[in-house]
Amino acid sequence: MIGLNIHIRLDSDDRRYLPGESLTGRFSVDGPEHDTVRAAEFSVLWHTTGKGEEDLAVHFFERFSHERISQLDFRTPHPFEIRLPFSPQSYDGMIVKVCWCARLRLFLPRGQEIVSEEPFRLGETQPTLMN
Amino acid sequence: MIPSRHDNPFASCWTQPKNQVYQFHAGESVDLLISCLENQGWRGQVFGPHGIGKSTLLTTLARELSCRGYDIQPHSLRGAQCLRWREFTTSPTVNRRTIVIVDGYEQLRPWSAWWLRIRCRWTGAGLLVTTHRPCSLPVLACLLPDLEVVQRLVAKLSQHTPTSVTRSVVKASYIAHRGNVREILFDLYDRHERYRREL
Repeated sequence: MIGLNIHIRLDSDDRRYLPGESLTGRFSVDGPEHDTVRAAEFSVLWHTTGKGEEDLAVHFFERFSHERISQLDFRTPHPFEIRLPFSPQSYDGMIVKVCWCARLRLFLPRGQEIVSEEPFRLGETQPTLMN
Repeated sequence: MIPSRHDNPFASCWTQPKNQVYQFHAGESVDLLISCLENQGWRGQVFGPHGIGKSTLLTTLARELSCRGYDIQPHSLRGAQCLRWREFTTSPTVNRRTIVIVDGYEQLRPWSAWWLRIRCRWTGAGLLVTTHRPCSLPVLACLLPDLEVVQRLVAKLSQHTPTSVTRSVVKASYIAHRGNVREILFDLYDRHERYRREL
């Protein structure tokens, strides 16, 4: 059990965004082992999920070195603002789904990692419905 | 609704062998199988029909062996990866702490399979394979369909994502797909999606 909690908060309560809109929010890390974080990666990405192989593409990526983490102190919320693209839009299909999320990955001693994701919706593509 | 991989507990991200831990029968364990493998001189085959969980068991064993400090050299004989095992035959890093793992051993030509076995013997490396047909390596595990194991797997997968798929639905799917776990999970994926949309 790793004594770390990741919090990713999006400013939009319904977590729905239009293409080209800005994704704003903040992330923070707390817990008794917060000072053991060696590096962190914050990304905004989409991936597919479903019955087959997953596809993934990173829209935004930022890496924080150990020195930078010490300077920033992740216990206080760290804001972000990212302009979202026009595609691919979120899609809830029967066989495949397109999922967008903000992700924070923490690198810890001895090769350990923890990851947290906050999903959001991009666009207004309707889900597949049953006939 | 916001699409996420948590929408369906039977999505491939949860069910692929690399993301799963093999569901052992009562009285079996990863430790027991590794002891058997050691007693067999680190040579063994995991034998069973399609979709029964051979790759998942192999992945579980490989993960544990790696944790114990063994050098695991995995080779999946599928598609473009089918020639990679040949690199092994000339690799200078192979030694007695190496265990060569071949998923889909029956796809090797007899000459290639023989050469791989000989090469492992020369170097002292272990050889652990999955196969649909029995081969000349000692049997480590022979996997057979088991409804109770499938029920446990479904219960584990749906721990974090509740599903309307019931035990009786799982049983019906098990019968329809003759115990092929891969096909059962595909079927349950579809059923879960239908139930979600009907709600």
